Amino acid sequence: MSDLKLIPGNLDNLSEFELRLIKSFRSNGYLFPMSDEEIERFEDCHKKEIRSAISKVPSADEILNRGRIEKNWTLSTQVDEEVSQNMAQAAREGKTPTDALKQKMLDDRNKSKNK
Amino acid sequence: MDDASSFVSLNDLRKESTLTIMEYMAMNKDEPSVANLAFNVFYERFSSAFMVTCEKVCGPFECLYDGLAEVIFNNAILNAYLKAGQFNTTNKDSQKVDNDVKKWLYGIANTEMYIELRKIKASANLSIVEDILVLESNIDHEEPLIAECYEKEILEQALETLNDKEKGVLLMCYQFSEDGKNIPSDVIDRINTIFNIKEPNRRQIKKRALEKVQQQVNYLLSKTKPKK
Repeated sequence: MSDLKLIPGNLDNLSEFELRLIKSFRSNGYLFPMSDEEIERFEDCHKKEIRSAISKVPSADEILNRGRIEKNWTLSTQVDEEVSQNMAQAAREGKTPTDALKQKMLDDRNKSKNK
Repeated sequence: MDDASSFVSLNDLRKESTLTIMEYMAMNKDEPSVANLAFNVFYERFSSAFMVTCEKVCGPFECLYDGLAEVIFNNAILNAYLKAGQFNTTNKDSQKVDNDVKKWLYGIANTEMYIELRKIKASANLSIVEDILVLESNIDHEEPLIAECYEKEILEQALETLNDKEKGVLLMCYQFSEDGKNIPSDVIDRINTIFNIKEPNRRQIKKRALEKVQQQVNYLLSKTKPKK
């Protein structure tokens, strides 16, 4: 992604835990593996799935005949301004939330769980 | 010129090294029939592991993009065929060459994910950016000296403590950052659009998600430690 600009404000200092977590994500298939070790570990942990995927993948000719798949994604998450405003309010003020606000946040949480 | 496919069979190609297969694939403009045969061999060697990886990586985002894994798999492996000439490696050992091909393929898949991420923004009637496909043929990933990975079960249980938004923000931040550190500004912008959050919230959500995961990992590790 060399066309992207990195801005200093986005720098996060990574803790040892975070580095280990990223490596674990890459080795366990939550992120694409990037090193030999991560690739080998991922394939070791998923031998069975890899074997059974052979029957699932479309044929090579199908891929060539089909070409690129172009899909227009539609966001399935609904804009919930109320929830984001409550969260923003709590974040902005930085104070201990009042009981009323806590109840409101709990309601928001339940609301999103029930969606 | 003779059609090379008349004297190259699929069985012949199966005996060839991955590097030779890549060279045949790179002939897709001049000798499409040979290149197609070579692609079949390439596909036999790499498609199943690649499919599983795509399914795993895209899994957490399926609630947002239905069918994302299929799109990434299809478009990335098709690009590997079309851009095979861009692949290069200095390794001679066949296992290492295969790993280099996989890293290259994962790099393409990551770019494809980024392209799909940008489409979400386009469908939300915001600015549409012209696609720039970047294929990295030499991916030198320096491994930081850190301790071993967490076990799969520990990771799974730790991620279960997060809701979809927390999990999505955390994974997307890492997916599109460079070594988990620098997150491109337009990626941040798109993450915020997808999850309907503002920038201070993204940082807070990521921080909270990380704390929850760390807490759960530490708890699970403390349970597995032998008692004195």
